[in-house]
Amino acid sequence: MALLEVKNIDKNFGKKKAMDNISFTVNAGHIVGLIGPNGAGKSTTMRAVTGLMSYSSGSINFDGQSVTFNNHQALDRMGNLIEYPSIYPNLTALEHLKLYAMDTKQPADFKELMQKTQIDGDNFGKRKAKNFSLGMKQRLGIAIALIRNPKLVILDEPMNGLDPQSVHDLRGLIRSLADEGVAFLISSHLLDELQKLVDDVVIINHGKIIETATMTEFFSHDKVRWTLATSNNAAAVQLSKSNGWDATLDEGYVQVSGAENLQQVITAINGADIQIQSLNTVTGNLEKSLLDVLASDDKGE
Amino acid sequence: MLTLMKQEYYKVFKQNRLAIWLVISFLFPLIIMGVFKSQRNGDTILAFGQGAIYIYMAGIIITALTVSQEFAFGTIRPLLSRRFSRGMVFASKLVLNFSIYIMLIVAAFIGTMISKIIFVPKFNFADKAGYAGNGWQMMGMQVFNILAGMIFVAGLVLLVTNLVKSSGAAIGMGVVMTIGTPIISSISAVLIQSAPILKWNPFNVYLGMNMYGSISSSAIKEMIKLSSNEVIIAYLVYIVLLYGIAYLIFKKRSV
Repeated sequence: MALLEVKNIDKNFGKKKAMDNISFTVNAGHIVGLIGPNGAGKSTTMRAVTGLMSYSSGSINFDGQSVTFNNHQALDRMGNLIEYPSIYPNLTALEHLKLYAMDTKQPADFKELMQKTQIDGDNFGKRKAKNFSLGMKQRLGIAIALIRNPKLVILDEPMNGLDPQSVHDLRGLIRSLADEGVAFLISSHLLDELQKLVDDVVIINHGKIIETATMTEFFSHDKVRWTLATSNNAAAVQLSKSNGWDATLDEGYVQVSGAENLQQVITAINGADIQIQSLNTVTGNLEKSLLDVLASDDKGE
Repeated sequence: MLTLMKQEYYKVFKQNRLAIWLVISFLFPLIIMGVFKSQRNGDTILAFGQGAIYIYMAGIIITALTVSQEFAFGTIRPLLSRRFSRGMVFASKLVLNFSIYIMLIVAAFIGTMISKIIFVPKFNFADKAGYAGNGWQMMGMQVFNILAGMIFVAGLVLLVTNLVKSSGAAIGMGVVMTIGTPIISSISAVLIQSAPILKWNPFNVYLGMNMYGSISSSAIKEMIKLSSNEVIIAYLVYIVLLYGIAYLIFKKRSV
């Protein structure tokens, strides 16, 4: 049974459908990426799941209990960081954790949590939050999301403001918690980072879910392709097309896809006396796959 | 509810530095009677060393901040995405605010009693001190007036805060209601002149309640065209309306 089950939810803002028959599930221990362009309905969906926004029809079940705008009992084991960290400027990081820990009988260990999220106890733990950098606030927001030992954590753009090392560490933290059984629903525009992290993807566009898949399934949209630099790029493109493959010239490189394998491409090009100067195999790119799926959706396919 | 209350007190002491507000409330009568010799009299003691105005202002500012800050800091989201219902969150804010008014009054009362001992030792609370009776009774009436006034103004402040999510507008409204009596009287008089039914306007009712206990019922009736009982009933109705509408806005708001 899914930990979170969102079923057929709708929400209108005037005439605009912000959520149109949204359905997806999140299983325990899974990291799910909620992906889509700006205004697609990602934050609206996350708000509905966290009980912050009403929905006109459908149902949201978390941990076997219903979540609605007026029924929040189930939210005790759900953490969230939506849009930007919610911080009281005059409280220190430690005071924030103490404040939010009052909610639950079994809060996470402060020291351990501060270490995991790199809120240094000797420095940031004692400094008022108004003096924090954006990255520091973000880390505190993530710590707050984790303070109640949640079963599900909802993170909206959690990598905002983090430096590369912090992003790397956050990825490690999320992965280790997922391995312990904590589920994550994450939205981010940093698709390269998300690609390294998520198990499943939920693609949303114009308030509708257009695809739910595992990462492997999703990458099947993105065909294997080869990027070549040759002694005669125009001729290489022409040759590839004559073989029935897709080929384009892009920023001085020949992009070829549709051949059965790389050997076929090399043999054909060498056979035409064109020298291959460099060659790269490209596959499984989240951004490319997403753009392909969104383009198909916008065309109404 | 207990958890919510604990969290609200934690926030108001740490974030809004309630202790400082309370210390000022305590010091206010001591400073007024210590600095100004003309204020060393029974009337000033019964008026909490003129500290009522401070109690009003502090109460209004804290009321406005307790809600508007949650929107300004974005902390409204974690506040409302927990197991607690919005009704409980709203109720915890009301209980917090009311308890702060009591704390402010108690702090001012202690400061006033110390001021009395130091600066006006001959003042006797048992002596007749005004229309309502002796010194204790007048002071009790003063406490009632402060609390009744603050609950009304705080309801208005809470309503404005929930409507515009800004403490500035709410505090501005509260300040006008607190120190702008001439303005309120003028608005009320214009309204009543245009139509007698408008004697029920909230400003007029608020003015009437402010006078309650200080002057006779007939004098109140003469001034605001409402009897004491009518003032009390209308006052209660307005309080229910103000808090009810503020709650409905708070309950419906998507954040």
